[in-house]
Amino acid sequence: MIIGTENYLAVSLLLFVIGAVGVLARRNLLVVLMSVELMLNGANLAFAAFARARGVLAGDVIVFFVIAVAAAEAAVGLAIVVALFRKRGTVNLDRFTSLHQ
Amino acid sequence: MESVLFWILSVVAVASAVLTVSRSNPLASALSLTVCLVAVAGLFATLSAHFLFIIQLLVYAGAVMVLVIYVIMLLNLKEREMKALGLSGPRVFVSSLVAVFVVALLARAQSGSGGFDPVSPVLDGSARRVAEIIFTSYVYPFEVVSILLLAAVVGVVVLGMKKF
Repeated sequence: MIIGTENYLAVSLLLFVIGAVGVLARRNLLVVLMSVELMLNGANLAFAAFARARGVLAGDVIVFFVIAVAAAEAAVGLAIVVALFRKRGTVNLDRFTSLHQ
Repeated sequence: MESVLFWILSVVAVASAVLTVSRSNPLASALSLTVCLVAVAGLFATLSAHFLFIIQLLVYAGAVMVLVIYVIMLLNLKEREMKALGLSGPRVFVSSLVAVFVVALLARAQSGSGGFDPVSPVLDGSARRVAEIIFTSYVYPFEVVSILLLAAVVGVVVLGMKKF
């Protein structure tokens, strides 16, 4: 069987949707951050597959930039998790409601 | 051979992604996510995106996951709290509905588009070819990313020092 762009897109869609379910259903801030990483990976895979389908290497460059921004996002996000944990002593998202009051 | 590799890597990627969102212990989630990232790196390799394969392993499976695991161990959550933050029935139901909706929408959009061109193995994503594009057409975004990383480093240090 020949592996086409559709197969790669199906895997990337599954990764993205599983990550989205993680963001929506989990209340642990650390796991939500990891689910966001999963969603970014799904998008990256789609970029790389489309780059092959269209024969343009620009998709690879975009994935490189996405990975760089994701690294910055992970560092800042985890620093915020640590700061919140110091302040509140929990990583439960449902407890962070001070803007809501 | 290629197709066998593709199926193995994609099954590993999807299965470890499911484990990432379903485990109640964040450390188990992080290790599953690492497996998933390595599998996605393998998928990049099957697309002949060699540069992305190396970057994915070094930056994602290496640096980012070490940071995540470091923070998980730093926080040292109690067993009771981890259990309380696991998956709950109603939330899973609602978010699965959203997921099915998104999948149906995209499947419909894809069937209407009349298919894609096949993956061309001739496109060589080696570091030399990617670098040629980055340092010609994308040189300004590249510089902006370096400023972004500097800003992130400064921001993380400030967040780490300050007492809120």
